[in-house]
Amino acid sequence: MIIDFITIKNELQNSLNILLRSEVQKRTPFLSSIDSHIQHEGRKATYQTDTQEIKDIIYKAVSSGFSYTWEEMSKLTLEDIIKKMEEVAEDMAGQMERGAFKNIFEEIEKVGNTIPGNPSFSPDALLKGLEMVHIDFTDDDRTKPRLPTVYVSPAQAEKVKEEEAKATLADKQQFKEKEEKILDKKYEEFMEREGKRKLVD
Amino acid sequence: MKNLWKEKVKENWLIKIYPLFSKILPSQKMPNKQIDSSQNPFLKTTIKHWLDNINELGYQFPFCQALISEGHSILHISKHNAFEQGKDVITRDKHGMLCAYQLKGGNITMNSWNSVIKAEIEKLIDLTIIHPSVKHNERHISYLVTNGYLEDTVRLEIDNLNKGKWQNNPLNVITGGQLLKMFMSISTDFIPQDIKNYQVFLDLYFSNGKEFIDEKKFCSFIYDVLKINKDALKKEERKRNISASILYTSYIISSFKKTENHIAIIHCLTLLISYIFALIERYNIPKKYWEESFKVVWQEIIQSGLLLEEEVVTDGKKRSVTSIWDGQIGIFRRHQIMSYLLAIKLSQFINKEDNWDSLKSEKNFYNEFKGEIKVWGEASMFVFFCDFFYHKKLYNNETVKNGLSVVLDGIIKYNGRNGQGVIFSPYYDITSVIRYTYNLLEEPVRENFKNRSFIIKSIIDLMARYDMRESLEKYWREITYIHQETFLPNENWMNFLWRCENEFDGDGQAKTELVKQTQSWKELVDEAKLIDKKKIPKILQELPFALPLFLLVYPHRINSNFIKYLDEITS
Repeated sequence: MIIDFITIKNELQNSLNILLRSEVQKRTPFLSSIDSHIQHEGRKATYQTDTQEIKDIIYKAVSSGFSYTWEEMSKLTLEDIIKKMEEVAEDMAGQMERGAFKNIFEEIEKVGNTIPGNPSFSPDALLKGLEMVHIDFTDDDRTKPRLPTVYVSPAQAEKVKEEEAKATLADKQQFKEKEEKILDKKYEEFMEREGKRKLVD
Repeated sequence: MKNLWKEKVKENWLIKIYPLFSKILPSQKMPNKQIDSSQNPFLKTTIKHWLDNINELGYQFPFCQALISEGHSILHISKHNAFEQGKDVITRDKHGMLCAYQLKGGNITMNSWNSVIKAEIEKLIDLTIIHPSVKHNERHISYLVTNGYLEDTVRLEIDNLNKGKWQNNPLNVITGGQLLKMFMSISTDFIPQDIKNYQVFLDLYFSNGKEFIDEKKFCSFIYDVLKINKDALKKEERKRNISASILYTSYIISSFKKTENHIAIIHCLTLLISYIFALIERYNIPKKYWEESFKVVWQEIIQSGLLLEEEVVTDGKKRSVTSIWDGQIGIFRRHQIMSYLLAIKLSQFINKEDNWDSLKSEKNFYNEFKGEIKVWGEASMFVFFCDFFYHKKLYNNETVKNGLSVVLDGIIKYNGRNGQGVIFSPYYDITSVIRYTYNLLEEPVRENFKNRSFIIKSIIDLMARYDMRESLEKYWREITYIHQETFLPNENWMNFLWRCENEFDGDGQAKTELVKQTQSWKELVDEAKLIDKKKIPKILQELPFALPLFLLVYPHRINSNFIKYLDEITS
């Protein structure tokens, strides 16, 4: 064989892997906001829900790839490789985010926690959604609700912005009042839930 | 016929002719394989390099293993290099003959012979052995062993003495060349077959003696030496593989011996016995095939513990600061001292060994280092369990229970819902965490630890066993948010694998549980009292004193069941 520089190539490959992970993370805002765990050994895993139900964790492989001819490979620059890696990251991130939302939708459908009639996005739909989820409060303080994050498609996001721009001060005031009313109720529910976290005889 | 033989053994004439009759020099009666060192000149060179660069303490441990391989039973190994009746090692060979060895390092010159060694050899020969399993005035065969050579003048004097003054109990001599043959003969039961294996061995052998061993590399190498995945081997082959694993480990730990890195020695030998346990547990190997070897390794662990204890009691604090970086890193070093010594003390207590309660003495390591515990991850927390069990036994004091609340409080504060998730899971060792602290990791840590804990269940169960309801009640709401994690290997023997990584050699299931939000105290206590003995490997039930060191070195195997069992065996 012709003398090679394997150690350097391996180090470059490691750097590229780190870059790929970081690029995927940038492109997966939803998954990146969730705490992640690594399973260090074994091939199976289970978790338990708040309601003491044990469920299997199903791992799904995400992959992407690229190929080059010998001719192309012989002329590749570092910039070309990084550009290709960004394309791979885009592809993998898409698979991961879509996969995660698909799983969530399936679970939500199963338990029936969807807004009846599947209305399009609107202030009322948002409030309806708020009514249907658990809300926690930091330091048990009514003024510090941990509000859920809303994920919408880019097209939908534009619409939301337009709606918000069109809304009058009165509309906003009305929305806020309704939201606070719901949060009052959610606070009561939260305190009741938290009161159950205790040792009994 | 047997009795007649035993009677004859006692007689002087037999002592005299026995070495000639049985060609007792170990190098001349290898039972296992023909020595063909030409098959692996590199291995021979490596072993020779090792043998040339150690002192008598360095080869005492593998020498005992070599004797075991020849059918000897070890009766006594001198502790802590104390000169005991001139005998460093006392054995009974396979014919029942009593043998006493004095071990020396380096060449024996006329000067060293006259000034020190001759007087010691006279004691070796003249003083009868006092030992519970030796009859009063029973004769023994005397051996002088050195990893060097004898000057001609010394050899001639020994010959003359053997013909004259010592003729009733002549001195036998084993020199470096014979030792090399002994060690080679055992090593050839496992010769690194492929270059990758040999490269791993050399990497380990030439590793930096000042740090910990690379666990992954060492475990993978020992796994191959022990042939854990070969299921059709005979028990005798298993026995020889155990011998080989001990020999290879002796070579590997020589760099630690040279730097007197006792913690790394204990760590490495604990990995070794864990892999031997994996083999015993998996193939249900009877005691007679491994007990003697295990005893030798255990003795070496305890001896290293004693040396460590002596070092730290003398000037441990001073020795833990050796560079400008030790203002930061010294505390991690001191944490290791506490962890290893407390685990050893606990093992000594369980095994009813002397010296388990050395902390009762006025000057002891605990008083020196008790403020030096540094929580850097869940792997660092086993020291609290050792502290609890040890002091519970030593002082039977209620205040030791406070330590459990401190650990629980730490987990909730740092990994609970309001924490930052900074306590690493037990899969991260001290080196990784120090690297992380100073941004020296090659790759970022790609997970976080918020709302997670591997050891919280052990703490909760222990607190329930010790009726600490008030403390638990205070924390229960926060506890309900923390996911209790554990890893369950598919079979008990897999507990001893460093990682259960594939379907052939080990596999298991990662499990995450949440406690009940509204929990009955009675139910909690009842569950905490239960120990599932089926999940405790049989070998650990047979040798429970190995459990503290096993859990210290394998913190990712700590689970509530093991901790409850540890509580039971220390109660």
